[in-house]
Amino acid sequence: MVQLNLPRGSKPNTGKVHKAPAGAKNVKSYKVYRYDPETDADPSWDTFEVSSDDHGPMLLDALIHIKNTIDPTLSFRRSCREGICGSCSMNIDGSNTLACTKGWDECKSHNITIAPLPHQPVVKDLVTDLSLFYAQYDSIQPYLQSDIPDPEKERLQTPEEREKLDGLYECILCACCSTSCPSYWWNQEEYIGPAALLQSYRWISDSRDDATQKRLDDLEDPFKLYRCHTIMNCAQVCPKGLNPAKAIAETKKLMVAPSRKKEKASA
Amino acid sequence: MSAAPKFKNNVKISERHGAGEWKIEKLALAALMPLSIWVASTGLTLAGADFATVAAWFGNPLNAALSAITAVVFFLFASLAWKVIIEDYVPAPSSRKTLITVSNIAFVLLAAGSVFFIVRAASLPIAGA
Repeated sequence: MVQLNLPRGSKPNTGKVHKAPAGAKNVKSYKVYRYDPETDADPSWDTFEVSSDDHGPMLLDALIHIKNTIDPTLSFRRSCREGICGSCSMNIDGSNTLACTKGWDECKSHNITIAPLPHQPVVKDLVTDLSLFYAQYDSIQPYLQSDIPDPEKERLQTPEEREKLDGLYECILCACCSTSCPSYWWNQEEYIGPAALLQSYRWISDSRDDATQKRLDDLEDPFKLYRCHTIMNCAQVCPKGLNPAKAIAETKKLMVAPSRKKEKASA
Repeated sequence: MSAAPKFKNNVKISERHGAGEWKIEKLALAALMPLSIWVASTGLTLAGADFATVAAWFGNPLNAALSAITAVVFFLFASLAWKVIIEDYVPAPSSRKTLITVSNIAFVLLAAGSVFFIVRAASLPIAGA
């Protein structure tokens, strides 16, 4: 039945507090989730007081500053530091986003909470295990499938056909959307989540792709697709401003489109 | 409920259904919008009316038919909605299946009961008098 009690380790303890040096100005307090798999200890919230004058404008700058100067054991993923790679996705003040594109001055409070992406297994501190997320992406076959043999040069599209991919191709697979979705929290073993569904719709919308009906067949499932209840958290948190919920709604419309029935009957 | 789900590389393999249920749910919802307005406006009209007036209202075949349709569509939608809620929050397959069966039986009984009492109200001797 429904599990009402939380398993051990779900409630982080109060951890270490690293005070700012006396006389520090423009101090912000970062409450950071800590978990070390090499110890048997429960997770904890460590507090780091840092002068914003000592680091760059983004929250990732603050984290790097903390790692460099206060606690080198703090673990988090980062790479491009400009919103392209999607590595530094985390939960900041209760909302998933990229630490590299979120300015610390965007956080109204002086106490900023930083936690790993919700409902993912934590590897260490802010690093989560996204294996299932990537497997879900892999399952939608994110590559061109055409019945036409490879042309000598590129496969051409009209500007209108190309426009249909706007708002879809920009996804950087940071997992902010999927891990903000309550439906994904409860049923991620079967629901493939907004990121994979957005990417699936990106290929369904591609005029050069001929596997549309197969792609729709592979998604037609009460859980894989229809667990989306239009909660819209995905669209709210996407750091690239995309709207996975709309892509899912369009996929649902295609599922019941008269043309699909015809294709099914003739298949 | 179908057989246990199959997985490939930890991702579920499509059961190749779901679009039909989704379509029925949306059609039921679309039908309920005008029907609900009709029920609400009727409720306001009949509020405080005496027994004979209400019985005469049910005696009108159009009113009785629309009432029965509203009840059936409402409980159909409710059963689909409860199925989704149970699937969302009850992970254990056996409990999930049992609860969905119980909820479906409950809504079939409620729909059948509603139609029965609407027909009974429509056939009261006083109706149309």
